Amino acid sequence: MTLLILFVGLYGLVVCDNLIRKIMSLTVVQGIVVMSFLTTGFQAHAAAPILSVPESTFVDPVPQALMLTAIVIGVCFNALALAFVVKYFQHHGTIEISEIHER
Amino acid sequence: MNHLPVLVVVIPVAGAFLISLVDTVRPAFKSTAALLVATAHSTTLVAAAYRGMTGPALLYSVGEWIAPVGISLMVDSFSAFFLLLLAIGHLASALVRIESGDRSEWARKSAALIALFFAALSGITVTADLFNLFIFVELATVCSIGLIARKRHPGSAVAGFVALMAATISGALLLFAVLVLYVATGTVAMPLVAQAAPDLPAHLHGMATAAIIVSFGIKIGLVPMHFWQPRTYHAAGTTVAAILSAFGLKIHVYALLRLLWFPLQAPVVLPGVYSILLVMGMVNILTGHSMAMIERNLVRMLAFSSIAHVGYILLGVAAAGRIGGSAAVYAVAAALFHTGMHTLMKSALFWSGHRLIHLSRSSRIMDLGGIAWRAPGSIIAFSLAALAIIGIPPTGGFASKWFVAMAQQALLPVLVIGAGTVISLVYYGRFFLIATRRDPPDSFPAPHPLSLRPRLQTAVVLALAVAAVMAGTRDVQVRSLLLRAAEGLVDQADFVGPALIGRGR
Repeated sequence: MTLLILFVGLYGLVVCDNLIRKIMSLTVVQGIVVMSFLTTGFQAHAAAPILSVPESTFVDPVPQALMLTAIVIGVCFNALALAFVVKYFQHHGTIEISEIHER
Repeated sequence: MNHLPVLVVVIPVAGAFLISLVDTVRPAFKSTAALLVATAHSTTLVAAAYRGMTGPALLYSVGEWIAPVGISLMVDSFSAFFLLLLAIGHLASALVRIESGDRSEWARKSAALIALFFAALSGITVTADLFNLFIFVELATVCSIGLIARKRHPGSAVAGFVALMAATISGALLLFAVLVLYVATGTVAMPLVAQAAPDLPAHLHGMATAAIIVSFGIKIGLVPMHFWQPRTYHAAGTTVAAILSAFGLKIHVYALLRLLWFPLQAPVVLPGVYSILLVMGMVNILTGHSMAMIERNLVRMLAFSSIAHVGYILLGVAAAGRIGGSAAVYAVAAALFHTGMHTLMKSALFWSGHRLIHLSRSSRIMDLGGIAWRAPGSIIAFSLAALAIIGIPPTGGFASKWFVAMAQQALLPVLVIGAGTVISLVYYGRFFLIATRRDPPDSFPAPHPLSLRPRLQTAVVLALAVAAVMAGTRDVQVRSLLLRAAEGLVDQADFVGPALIGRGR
């Protein structure tokens, strides 16, 4: 399933002509990696990893901590990419790659 | 506890903020602040490298939390070699930029970005934690994209976007590899992953290795994942292209080698991967050199030459992985020799090219006819570095290519190295002939009013080019340094040891 969604994202990245859609495909790729990382730490009926709670099983806190950082980096990349799209649009008046190449 | 491993990251990060602060309060002192930060960082890097080269591996646990809970940093002789390259890089790029006449808003911000970029590269070199490595790789990427897109013209936004796309795919794949290794081993600390690697299921190990090779292949420009590099270097301009190609690219080579040898244990577990790298190396050499030959733009020509030279490094690496055992040390040393030489040669080429392009206000090779007579210092540095990069004896470039060729077990890679040398002789020779034409056209634009005669810049590029030439004649000293560094990668006993015993010293 992970690989399937990963390939959907990569396919969109290659095929889409619209820059915003390309960024969306990238977000899909990032999202599926983050999601599958999070599920590795999941356990059914386990408590949150807070030591004061008198439970015996906890979910693994490491993936959550790591993915928090990965999400922040992803947001940073998206912001940069959108900034480039704005600059692109200001200059070319379009965000379709094929239209830019035709001129 | 020795704090050097963490200081090589902390100093430039703090320095980047200091530069921004000085730039806001007293813009006139910005270059001085940047030079100060670069000097402090380079000194720390050299000190850390000296410790890594001479003593046992230096282990640092941040906050005294040992792995797997805490993040470990490590400096051994292999990372020490790359720390030395970074020390040269940060100091040289600060010196070269002092005389830059560019006063635009983005040019002012780039001094802080360069300090942050070198902080991230130092972080990649010292970390012993997979996730931490991912963070530093992404930080380096964001900084480099800021540097690439800093120019006002529309092409730089396009190049920035393309580079960002390539970097995001690369980052997602690296994260995917970390995920696979975490699922399989339950840890992201490199020494612990390395311990578990031989027992991993083959499909998980193969998936992580493939993801890592593609991820770093995008960064270092393995054909066909090189598409973004020439366009990016062209848009970024020569000053930044030198930093990206001569230093940034080499640290990503470091990360690839470290990951293959150490956490993945590829020479033992998956030796087949080195045959693939061998083929990719040959493809890179042939593609890079042929594209450089038909290229009409100086910056893009140098960019394609970088792609070709990644191929030479890979040939040494592939030979090391295929031999295995103690003989691998010599092949790794050959690859490291070429890495170091390419750093010196390519930074000298780009930065001396900067002066030539600045004078003629064009980077098309045909527009640079007769430019040599206007900037003799730059063309001397350019020619010396070009002689080295072609591989004319007795330069350092010749010696490093020779060692890479000697490490090969088959005839074909040696023939490819020879063919690459001939092609590069053609395109560098052609550029030299055009640049030294005796009939300089009168149509050269007048020099930029703000541009001084950049004596310091010329001195720096001359020093780099002379170092690249001289390294070939200082064989004995260079070789002992390289063998020590290669041992750090191949014999990991002293890298793994302290981490597993527990408390680092």
